[in-house]
Amino acid sequence: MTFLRRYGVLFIVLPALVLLFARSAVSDPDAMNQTVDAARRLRELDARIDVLVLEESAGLSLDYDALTHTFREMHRLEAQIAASPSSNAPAVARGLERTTAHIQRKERIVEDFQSSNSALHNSSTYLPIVAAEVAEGRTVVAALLASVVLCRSDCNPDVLARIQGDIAQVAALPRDPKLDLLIEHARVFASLAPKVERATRQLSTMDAAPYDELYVAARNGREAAVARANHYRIGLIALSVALVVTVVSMIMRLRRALRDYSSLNETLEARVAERTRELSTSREQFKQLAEEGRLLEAELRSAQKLESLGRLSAGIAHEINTPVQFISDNMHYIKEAFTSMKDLVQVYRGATRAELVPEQRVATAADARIADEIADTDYALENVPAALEGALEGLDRIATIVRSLKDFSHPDKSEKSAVDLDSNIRSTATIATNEYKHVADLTLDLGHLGPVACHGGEINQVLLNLIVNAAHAIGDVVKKTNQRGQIEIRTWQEPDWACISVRDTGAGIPDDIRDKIFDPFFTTKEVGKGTGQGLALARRIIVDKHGGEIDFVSAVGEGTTFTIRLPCERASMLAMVA
Amino acid sequence: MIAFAAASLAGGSMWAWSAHGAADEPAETARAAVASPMSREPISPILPAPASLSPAKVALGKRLFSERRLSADGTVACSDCHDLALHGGADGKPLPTGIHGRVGRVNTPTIWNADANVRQFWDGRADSLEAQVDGPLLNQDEMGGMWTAALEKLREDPSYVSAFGREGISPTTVRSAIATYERTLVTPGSRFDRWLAGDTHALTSSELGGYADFKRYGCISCHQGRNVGGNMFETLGIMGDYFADRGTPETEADLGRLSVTKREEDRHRFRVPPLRLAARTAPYFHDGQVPTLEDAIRAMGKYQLGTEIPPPHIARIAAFIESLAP
Repeated sequence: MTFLRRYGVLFIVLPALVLLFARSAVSDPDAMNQTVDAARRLRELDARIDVLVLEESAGLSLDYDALTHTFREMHRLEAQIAASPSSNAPAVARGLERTTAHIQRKERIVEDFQSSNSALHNSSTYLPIVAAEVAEGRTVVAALLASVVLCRSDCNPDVLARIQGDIAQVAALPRDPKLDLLIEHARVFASLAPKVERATRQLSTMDAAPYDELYVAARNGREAAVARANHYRIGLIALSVALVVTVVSMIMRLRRALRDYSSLNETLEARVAERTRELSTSREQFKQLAEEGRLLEAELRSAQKLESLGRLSAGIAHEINTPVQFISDNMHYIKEAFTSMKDLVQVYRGATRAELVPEQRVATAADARIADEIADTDYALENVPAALEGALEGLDRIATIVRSLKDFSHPDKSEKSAVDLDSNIRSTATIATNEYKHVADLTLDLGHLGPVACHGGEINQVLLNLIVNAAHAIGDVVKKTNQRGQIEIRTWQEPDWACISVRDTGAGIPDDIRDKIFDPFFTTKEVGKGTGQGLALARRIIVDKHGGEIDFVSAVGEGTTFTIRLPCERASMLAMVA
Repeated sequence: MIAFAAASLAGGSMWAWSAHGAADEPAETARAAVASPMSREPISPILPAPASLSPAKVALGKRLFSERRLSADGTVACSDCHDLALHGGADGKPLPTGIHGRVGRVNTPTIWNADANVRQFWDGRADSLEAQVDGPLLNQDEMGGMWTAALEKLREDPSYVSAFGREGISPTTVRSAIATYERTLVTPGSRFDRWLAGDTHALTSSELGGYADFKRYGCISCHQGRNVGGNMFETLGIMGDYFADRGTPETEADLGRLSVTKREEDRHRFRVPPLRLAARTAPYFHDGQVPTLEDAIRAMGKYQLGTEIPPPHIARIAAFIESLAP
């Protein structure tokens, strides 16, 4: 394509040039000139035939070779014209056709003329010889001879009739072989003379129009060809001028470019040195940038971790605070209950002392009853165990959270280790509880995976990001509909992959941003709520660091399911398990 | 015009009278009386073959001229009837013999000097030597050939394939080669032509006398030109009925030019035979029914000129005709 664009003009100009050049020359000018000449020569030869026939008829020419040769020359010219490309022109072909017919007719007439003329010549020669030998009736014979001579000059019907009359008179003479011969010659003469006369008359009245037509057609053909060639020549000149102008302008452009080039050449060395310097600086800078990038990424990763922890800490604090509060409440109650119990125990101890008189004992029993009532012993006996239960439960919850925190943020090792992903998911879900619990219920469908070789801390980070995103996505829906959503985390094993999916019933991801969600700094959350690093980081961790896959299916209004696939390195995993 | 015509007629008469009177006079006188060398004669010398003819093409034509494979059964070549050496370019028979012993319709004309003829064949049906080739080649009574078969046989022969070369073997190239060869078959340098060129002693007195008679009797009216005939057509039997006297029924061949032109005036009209080689091409006439030259001269006198040429004159005319060939 580039070739065509660059040289396409050549494909137009060159054929045009060749075409114009070819057309600007009269195609085969020799052939055209020859045809014109041949047509003219045919006309001359035609006239020559007439002259030759007159000569023959007058006895001035002694043989017919000249006629034969003239016709042969005419046939040669006809063939030459017929073979010439110029006879392709319809006008020339028509002219030639008519000329050929004309010549054929003429040949036939001349052929007849020759036959008649030869015999006539002989008879007119013999007539006086025979007449001289005739003894009788010389006047009648002389009259016949006179009529014959007259007929030789002007053979009109009257003269012919006179000859017939004279023949009859001679025939009336007494029979004589000489007279019979005379009569025979006279009859031959009388029959042939009009034929010769007719032939010469036919020849003289044949017009030369076919030759003229052929000549004019050939000449017009030549002139038309010349005119046509001239038009093409003008075109050729115009194109040539255009080409010359183009070439000159190209040369000028080339010279300018050469000048520029030479001046460029002078500064080139300096510029190369400068560029080299710049380049080495750039390389240094690039190295520095790369290093900074690496540091930044590391910082970013820990920052993200801190950010999520920071963001979660309020929730986690709340999660811890709640059990702490009711543990504290329960402990206060237990403490009060215990104080009441202590008073009651003292009353009971006083009542059961030995030195007391019975009356005193009665009073003391009443006191004890009152004390028992005051202490509300029944209530305490009933509720303290429950309070203790509750406190222990709260402590358990706190322990879980703390363990989860510990699990979640356990320091990353540089090498992968066998990780029970199910427990990681549980921990992460626990930490994130406060993020989703107001808007969604979490369902876990776990227990299908064995240990997976991975960087557990980083996987936790990814899971946390996905759960937080799910919670936010559902949160957006809840704001509008007040309906709680669902988050479901599922694990399953595929032949080469350990798979985790996080499904939410949130708003879904609009089509137009699906391509961008893994881009760094891309966020749909309001300023301050997200950094746009969550999913970018998730991809870096899953894809780049673990050689796994992270993908999602989303339908706007129905929710999104993120799926993570981590490669199972079975051999090493088995080794680790063992 | 009247005066001119009368003078010409009278001049012709006077010339005729004087020639007639001089007929029996000594040779020297006859020489002076008949014509002087270098003067304008009705007969002109045969010219040598044009130098422009391609030797290779001539050689090819010569080979084809003797090529029997051109005929249907591979037995007859052009040269079988046009015997250049023995029979003056004809076959010495009244009618030619073709394949399977078939007999042709007309007497074989000589091939010598044929290019000087106005047309070819007795009836002039071919207007060139090239066109003539098809005649005997395709005639069922002569070579009986067919172009396709003949060309096929030529193509089987590598020497022909190479000889025809780039133009290939086609009817056109075969015709052209044969015609080119035939253009070389000319007979310049006859004693008569030497006499025409000024050699006063080239002819004997008898031959000169024969020439004088030839002109005086009017033979020259038709037998003129380079080939002493061959350049016009004439009716056989102007002054007598040749066919009635012949005693055999008229055949299609007797129609002459009529069979080509379909015109009644061309009945019995034939191309005037050229006399250059006539002394060697007996028998004579289109039907080959006239056995000797003397018979032919006598018959011509009778049927064409209405005169009985006396035997001494016939002998002299025959001697003159003899001098036309080299």
